[in-house]
Amino acid sequence: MDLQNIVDSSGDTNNNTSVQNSTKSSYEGNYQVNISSTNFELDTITSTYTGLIRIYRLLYVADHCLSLRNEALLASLKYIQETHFISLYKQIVDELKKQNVPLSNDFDPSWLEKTQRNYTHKLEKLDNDLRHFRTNSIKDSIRRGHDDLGDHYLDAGDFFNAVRCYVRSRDYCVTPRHIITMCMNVIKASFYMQNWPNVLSYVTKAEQAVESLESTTKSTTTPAATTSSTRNPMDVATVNSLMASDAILISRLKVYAGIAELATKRYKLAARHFLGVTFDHCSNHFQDLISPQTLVQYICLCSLAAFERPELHRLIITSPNVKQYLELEPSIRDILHKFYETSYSSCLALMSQLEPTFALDQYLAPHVCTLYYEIRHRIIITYFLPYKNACMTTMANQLNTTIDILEDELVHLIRSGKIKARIDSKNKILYVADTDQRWYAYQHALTITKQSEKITRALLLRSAIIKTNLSVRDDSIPPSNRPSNNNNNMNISRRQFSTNMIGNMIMDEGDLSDDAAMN
Amino acid sequence: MALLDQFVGNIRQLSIEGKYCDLAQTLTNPNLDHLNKNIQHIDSIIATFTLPEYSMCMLAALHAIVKAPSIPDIDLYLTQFDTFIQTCSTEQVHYIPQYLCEICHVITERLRKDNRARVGVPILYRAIELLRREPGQLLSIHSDLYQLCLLCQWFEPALTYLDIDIIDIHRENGRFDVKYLLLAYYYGGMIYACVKQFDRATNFFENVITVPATATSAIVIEAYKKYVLVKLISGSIGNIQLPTFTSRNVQQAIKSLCNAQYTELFNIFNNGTLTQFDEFVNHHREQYARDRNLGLIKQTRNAFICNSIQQLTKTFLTVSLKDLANRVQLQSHNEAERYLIDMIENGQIFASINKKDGMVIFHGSPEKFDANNMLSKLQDETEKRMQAEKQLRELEKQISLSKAYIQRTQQSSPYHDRPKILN
Repeated sequence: MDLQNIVDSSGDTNNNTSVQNSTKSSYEGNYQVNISSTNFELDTITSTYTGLIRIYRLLYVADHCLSLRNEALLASLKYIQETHFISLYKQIVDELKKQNVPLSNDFDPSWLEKTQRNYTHKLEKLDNDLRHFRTNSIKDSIRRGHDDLGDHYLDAGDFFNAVRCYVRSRDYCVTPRHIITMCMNVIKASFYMQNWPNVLSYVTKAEQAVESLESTTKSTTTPAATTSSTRNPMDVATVNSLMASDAILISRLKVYAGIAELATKRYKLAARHFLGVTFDHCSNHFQDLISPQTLVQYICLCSLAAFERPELHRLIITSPNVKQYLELEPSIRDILHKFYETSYSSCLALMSQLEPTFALDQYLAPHVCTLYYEIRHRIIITYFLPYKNACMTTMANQLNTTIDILEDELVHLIRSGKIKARIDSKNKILYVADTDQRWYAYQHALTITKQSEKITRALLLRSAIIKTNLSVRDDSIPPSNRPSNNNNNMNISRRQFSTNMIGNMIMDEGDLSDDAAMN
Repeated sequence: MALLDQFVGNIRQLSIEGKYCDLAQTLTNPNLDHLNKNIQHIDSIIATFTLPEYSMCMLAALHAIVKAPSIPDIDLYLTQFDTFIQTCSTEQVHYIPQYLCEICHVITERLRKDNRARVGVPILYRAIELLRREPGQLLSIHSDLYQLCLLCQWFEPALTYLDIDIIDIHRENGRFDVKYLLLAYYYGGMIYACVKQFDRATNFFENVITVPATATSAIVIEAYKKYVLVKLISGSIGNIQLPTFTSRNVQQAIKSLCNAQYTELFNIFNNGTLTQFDEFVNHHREQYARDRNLGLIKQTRNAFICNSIQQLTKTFLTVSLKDLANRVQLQSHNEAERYLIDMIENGQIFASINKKDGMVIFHGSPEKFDANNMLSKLQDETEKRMQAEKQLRELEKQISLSKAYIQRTQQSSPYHDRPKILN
């Protein structure tokens, strides 16, 4: 089956870039994960998520884990009946039939027909409404009409049309709050489409709108509060709740931006976005987007791969916000702490234990290998930092690998310039490379002179060419139509003269040299 | 017949009186084309022109022969032409250089077809000597000479001219076609590639590519293909960025015509393995064969292996031969050893092989830049570079003093009384 096609309905192309990784299989395309060594359960998905994202996550598991496949398919079928996503529904039912899985008792065979009818009916109604609003040209109603229609498309999994409707509502936005709603809608639909550039651009738009909103509310509320202390407490309450919802909104935007950056392989930015998400918001409001457990997994991998040690300490180990996340996922906490305590052996062991779980995460899986690789590199680099030479056997033990794999990795690192060292393959010792600065300076001087001479010579030739007014051109075009280079205008006309009029011919040579030097 | 006699008499008269300007006009006037019309009598006419007094008339007569549909006796003609070049008056020939060049083109074409390139080389060599005004001047005959030299694999004559950098181009009375410039540098690049001076070959091909262009020439495209290969062989694998002054449409044409088969090689050189390289080459073998680049491709493969080994010297102090063969993806450690020995002998790497335990030990470069000869080499290089710079300054001075330049810059500036240049 190929649910993958729908799940990754767009933007699967950037996964093709080759990861220079020969030691591990990469989690891209069609792979299967064996989860027997982990305590991964479908319940974690069904209980912490809602909405479309839950269905997608279940399907991803179904695609990539054979042992949970049927269970996941059945569960997703159940949830899909709450939506109008007919095409996906059909596919799942087909798939279940192919696998000869008995459908559960509460399976409603008439659902498809009913939903189909419902869907077209509602679509017509919304369409009509919108037309009606348009004729009356009430701005706000038109906006709402577009939004409703978009919501309906989104519910049916027609993300393309959903985005279109949401974007159209933009012309009818009056207040910043409308703009924010529009942006959030577009982001949501683009997110499902995995159209990451779109997500990112609308996130920035939304953030700007929130900012302008904040500045306006501040300017209106603060003078009011100072002038009349006897303000209606109800007002204050609504303002407060508004502020809170704005904060949630910002957190939500950060999650979207983070996932989009992760998908485009900018791990450092992704980590920074994720770190900006407040724990309370995440654990209470984001069931339709991300669970705190998943978020902390993302944070852990991205920051380990991208942050320097001081950053790691400042932003993660000592951050009270991240602490709350880490309490939910002790294994992740252990990884982070072991990494920071430089007990790399146990850190890597823990990481490889969790690898299957990560591989079943829709957004993380394509990057698990790269991230792991990055983290390993970081470990090797920091490990080697204090030494002048290091025994590779000990190093391999510390890093849970064999000496051959380590050597390969070291070669790769040296080649990409991440560590300056050279390998003594005979004695299995890694030496810090001593660079002879003087030698390099001289070598550099030699190459530079050679290059510069070459460029000057080319320049001389080029000026000779231009002086003679030569260029490759299409002679089928009549000379009058030629876009003549203004530098050579005069020479061109002169040359044509000289070929046509014999009298001028002998003049040509002297004439041109006269043109070049006035003497 | 009477007309012809009158014409011959006329040009003889002009020659004697030394009115070379008028003579050149008469000879090149298409309305007075009596020599061509009476080609059957040309031999008797030639007999009346003694050298060097009637050099220009003789040249016109010789030109009339090659303009005829066919040359009756090519060997006789070549001797005639050769004697002419050796005995004629240089001054007179300079009035109608285009005739001499055209004759050379025809001869070259003929000899190429007859597969007798070697015969023409000395003649053309002398023709260039005769016509050019200074060593750094390019003639259209250069391209002919290079072509013949390539055909007969006799490079010394061409190299004496190739080694001088061109700073001027002979206009040949407006007959110098850009084709000859492209060809001269294209063939020049090929000759340098043949004698394994790949750096210089790269420069030559680059010169072809950067000639100003508003249309795409097939020569430029072929030059680019060779440029890529030669550049890779020369070991500069860093970037494939063409100079910034390359014409836009050349860049586009290259992108659409050569990216898949040639430019892609740079990526493979930088990130690929030998197997990937072989696969890639095999996949495009037909194209390479069509472009007649298989020989260069073979050398590119060699360069790829050398490059991979060189990379290893940066990462290893010692490595076993077997491991080295594995990393470079060679067949056996014997093959690896062969490459290593070659490279050590050529001074590309500094290493020693320990046969006892099959280890290769890489050393740093023995050149410490503390000996006099190295410093003097550096000095020489710098001086050469300064020399070029001086020429450039000279040129700039000429331009900034030229009438046209001053006029134009003044026109464009709104303040006529304040010339901006003239500093």
